[in-house]
This record gives sequence, structure tokens and C-alpha cells, in this order.
Amino acid sequence: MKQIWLVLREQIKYFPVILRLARYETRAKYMDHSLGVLWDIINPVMQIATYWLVFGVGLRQGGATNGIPYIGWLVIGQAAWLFLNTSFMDATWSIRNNVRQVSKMNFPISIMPSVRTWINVIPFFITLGVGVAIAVVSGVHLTMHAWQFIYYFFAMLVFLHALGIFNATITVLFPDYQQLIQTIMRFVFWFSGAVIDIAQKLGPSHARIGRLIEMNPFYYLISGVRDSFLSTGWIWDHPSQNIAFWSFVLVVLLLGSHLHLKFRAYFADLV
Amino acid sequence: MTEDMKTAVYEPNDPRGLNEPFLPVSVAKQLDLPGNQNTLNSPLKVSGRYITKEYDMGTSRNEKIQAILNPIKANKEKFWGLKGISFDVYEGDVVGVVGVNGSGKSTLLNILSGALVETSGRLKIKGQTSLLSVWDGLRDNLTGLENIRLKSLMMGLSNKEIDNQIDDIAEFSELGKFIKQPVKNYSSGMRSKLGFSIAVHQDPDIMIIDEALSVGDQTFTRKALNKMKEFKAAGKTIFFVSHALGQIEEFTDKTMWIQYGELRAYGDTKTILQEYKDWTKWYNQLDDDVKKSYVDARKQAQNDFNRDQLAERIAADRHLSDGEKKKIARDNAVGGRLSWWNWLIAFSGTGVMIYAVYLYMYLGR
Repeated sequence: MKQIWLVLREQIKYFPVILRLARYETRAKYMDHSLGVLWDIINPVMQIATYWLVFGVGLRQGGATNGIPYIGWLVIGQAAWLFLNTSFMDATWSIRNNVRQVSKMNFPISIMPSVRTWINVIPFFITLGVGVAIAVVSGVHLTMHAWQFIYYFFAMLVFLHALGIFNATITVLFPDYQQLIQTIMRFVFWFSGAVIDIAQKLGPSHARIGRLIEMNPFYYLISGVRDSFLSTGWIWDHPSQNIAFWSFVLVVLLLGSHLHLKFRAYFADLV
Repeated sequence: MTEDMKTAVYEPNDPRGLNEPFLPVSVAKQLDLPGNQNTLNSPLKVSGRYITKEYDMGTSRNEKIQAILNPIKANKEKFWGLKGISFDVYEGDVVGVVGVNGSGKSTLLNILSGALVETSGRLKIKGQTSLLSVWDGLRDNLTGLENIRLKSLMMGLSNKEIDNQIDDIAEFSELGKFIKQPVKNYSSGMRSKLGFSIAVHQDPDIMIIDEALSVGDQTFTRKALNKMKEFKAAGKTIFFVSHALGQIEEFTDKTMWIQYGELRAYGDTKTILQEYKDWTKWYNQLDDDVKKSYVDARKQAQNDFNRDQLAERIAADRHLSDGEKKKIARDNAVGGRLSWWNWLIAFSGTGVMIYAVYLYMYLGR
């Protein structure tokens, strides 16, 4: 448990550095593009538009279920998914790609995954804002449920920190792990509820499988963000999901922090 | 010369009369070397005791990972880059490090800067260290200015602090218009100028300079040396590696001579450099085959070195208390194992998760 605190303490101590580096990387990324950071908005919008065409219009996924228009449901879920997925994947290679650069200076390498997360926070808020606006325009009312977003955003940060440290450390040791994660994430996308409500699709005859899929942490976070803005549920409505999510995060955080501290002195030897 | 003499391993008292000018001091007496004396009563800055670095000659990364995970189950091929080096360095010391290529100089400096971890031994450092190495830490696709900003950010400076000094750094680097060009277009001299300029503006307590001054042209080297003299005047501790003995002579007070992983001499620069030059002269006049057998024997000793030999050396040192000896002989390896109650948390956490999944899946709550 001490390991968790040791790694966490670096995140807190170097939080200003994390923000500055995130800002710098964002600027550097689009340095030679004339549209600059606009691409951070154009890309997700195009992606969401594609899903809307395919599932909303093409496959007639639904007009409104329970009075919630599909487009609002889709955009809010997609915003959360893109944030989680991008940060998650970027964090996985963040240490491996930067070890060379920072190995000869006094730099807390454990903040690298967090930097990747914070790079994506602003684009996330923008896409989420667009999603909420679309939902409101198409007739959804924001209620007290919206406050739950604070909790879910916090949960996202903890989740990304835990998995980021764990994945980034393992990737340094075994580069194949990154490929594996990439493959897994392609599956997780369909099970995360980002574009289709998988449980509803499976129907009552496969309710158990549907519920099993709903237990994955990505689903938990994405549906949580939807619950907040579409007022479809409270945090305490699903106690076993809460327990499963947090115990998973705790175990990953413990193992990830431990492995990170154990191996970080050797990162430079291994890359 | 008979055939078997040619292949014979070099011995200090070789019948051919090749007596080496002086042999390394007994390892157990390293701390008696004159360099360790604190003549000015300054605070201790860096203190190393029997620092070793064991390189694993396993080629695949799996072998490397195995070596880290399980240091006891020894791999066949080992190479001891450092065989137990002890020294003290005080505030305001400027220490030159000399030695032939592959002697372990860079390994030692990398350990001092924290880039590598010593295999065993104890290293105490008071203050921030900064390794000045030209080739690392610059991103090729960013311009000079952007690299300055990025590196400064990583060193924890705020944007305001960077804005205040970025012009100074750019000017010091003498890159002119090239400062706005991507670093990939730089020559090696330009890179070294940029790296040096960034590093000297970070103001560390202990500065480690690894051959960085030998790349730039004469005028820049001069300027850089002057900058280093400012640091020296300000009482900073500096380690300085260079093959240019002139620079070492001009700039340092003490010199360490490291050879084949051992500290061979440590004392004031003049004496040590003279010894080093004598040795080089002696070595150069040897026949090629003798040179080869000399080097091979030393390298073989670095291969064959082991923990028992190290323990013997440590045991013979009269500067250390018994408690310290025990501590120093132990491997620094790999943070501990997960404690039993952490395992308990991990297992019970997994258990709780599985139970929660089961509850929801079967009972829907």
C-alpha cells in the first residue's frame, strides 16, 4: 500500500509539471498544422458523425429509447470513450518512448502516463460539451444527476492512473504487451457500450452475458457519464458494479505501483 | 621470443622486464588515497563505498529481465564494469576522471547521475546532480528553442522562469538563426553547444560533464571552460571526464584514475596526471602482443570477478564498521518483494471483484 502512495505523491508533487508538459505537447503536436488544435475537435466530430450515420441512420438503432434520443446518447458516450481509449493507449507507450530522453536527468518518469491523460482532458470536455448540447436541444433536461459527473470524472482519472502505471511498466519489460492491449481494446470498444447498448441487443434470453459485459470498467465509466447527463440513474443504484470497479482499480493500482517502483531504476537498461 | 611467451598472460614481474610503473593500490586501502582528504573542512557532497556495476552479457531482453528478477540465479556471462570503487568528494571539489576507453568512467558517472543503478555498494549524494551529455535528451523534430523549453519544463521550471532565461540560453549557444531550425539538421558541434547551454543554465549542485567539451570548436570550448570556472568559483562540485589532459590539468584540482573497473589512483591533479602519462608511455612502448595479453588479462579479471572476491575486499577494509560492511556487501537489487499483507489485499480485492461480478451477473444487483 505504501507503493501506491509513493507513486501518487509524485503525481501530486509534480502536478504543475504535468500540466505544463501536457500543454506543451499539445502545442508541439500541431505545430506545423495550419488548423492547429482544431484537429483535436474535427477528428472526434468526424468519427462520431460516422457512427451516427452507420448506427443511427443506417441500422436504425433507434430514434428515442425511454425518451432519450440516440444522437445525444451516442455523442456523450463517444466523448467518454475517446477520452478513455486515447489516454489509455497513449499511456501504454508513454514511458517506453521517453525513457531515453529523461534517463539522464532527474525526472519522475511515473508522471509520463498522467501527462498523456491531461493532454486529452480539454478535447474531452469540448466533445462532451457538444454531446450535452445536442442532448439538451433534442429534449433532455439536465437535473441534479449532472453533479455525478464530478464523481465519474474522478473515477476516470484514478482508473487511467492505475492502468497507465501498470501498462506503461509492463510495456517497457515486454514490448509485445502493447500490441496485445491494442487488440484487446478493439474488442472492448464494442463491449463498452460506446456506440451500441449491447445488453439490449442481446435481449432477455442472454441477460446474464449482457450483465457480465456490463461489468467491465469502461462500461462502468461510460454509462456513468451518460447517467449523469441523461439523468438515467444514480451511483448507488448499482452497488455491485461500484464494488467491482473499485476493487479492480485497487488491485491494478497496487500491482502497477509495485512493479513500477521495482523496475524503474532498470528502465534505461531495458529500452 | 619463444612462442609460449607470446601467448602467456601478462604478469607484473614479467621475465621480459616490462615492469609496470606502479600497480593499483590495494582495493581495501582506497580510502587512504590522498584525494579523499578533506583539507578545507568542506561538507561531504558525494561518498561512494565499494560501488560495483555488474553488466549482464545476456543478449536477449528476456535474459536481462531474468537477471533483474532473480539476481541470485546467476547467468553465465557477467562483466563487472566497476569492481568496487570507494571515494569521498567534498563541496567545491572539481574532480577530473581519467582512464583508457572502457575503463568504467562513463559507468561511474551514469551511476552518480542516477541514470544507472549500482549493483552493490553505497552511494550518498547531497544535492541535485545533473549529467551533461551531449547526445541525450534532445528531440530531433523540435527546433532548438523548443528543445530548450521542453527540457526546462522537464526540469521543473515554470513557463515564466523559462521565458526569463530562454534568450540567455539561446545566445550562449551561439547558434544564431539555427536556433529556430529542427535539431535533426544540426551538426554534432551544434548539438553539443545546445546541450551544454541548456545544462549550464539549470544550476545544479553537482555537475557531471562527460566528454561534452571535446565536441565543440576551440572558441566554444574556451567559453564553456570559463562558464565552468564560474561554477567552480561558486563552490559547486564538478566531475569532469575528458581525454584532453590539458583541459583536466587546467580546470581540476583532484583527479581519479579509473582502470578496468578499479580506482587506481586518486589525488591532486598534477601528480595523478604525471602517473597516468608515465603509464601511457610505458604501455605504448610495449609490443603489440604484450599489450593484447595485458588487456585480455584485465578484461578476464572483470569477467571472473564475483561477490566472494568483493566480500573479501570489503572485509579487509579498516575504514568500515562491521555493520557497514554487511550493508555494502548486499545487493542493491530490485526493490523488495510484495509484503504478505499486500498480497492479501491483492487477492482479497480480486476475490471481492469476482464475487461482485457474480452477484450482478446471476442476480442482477
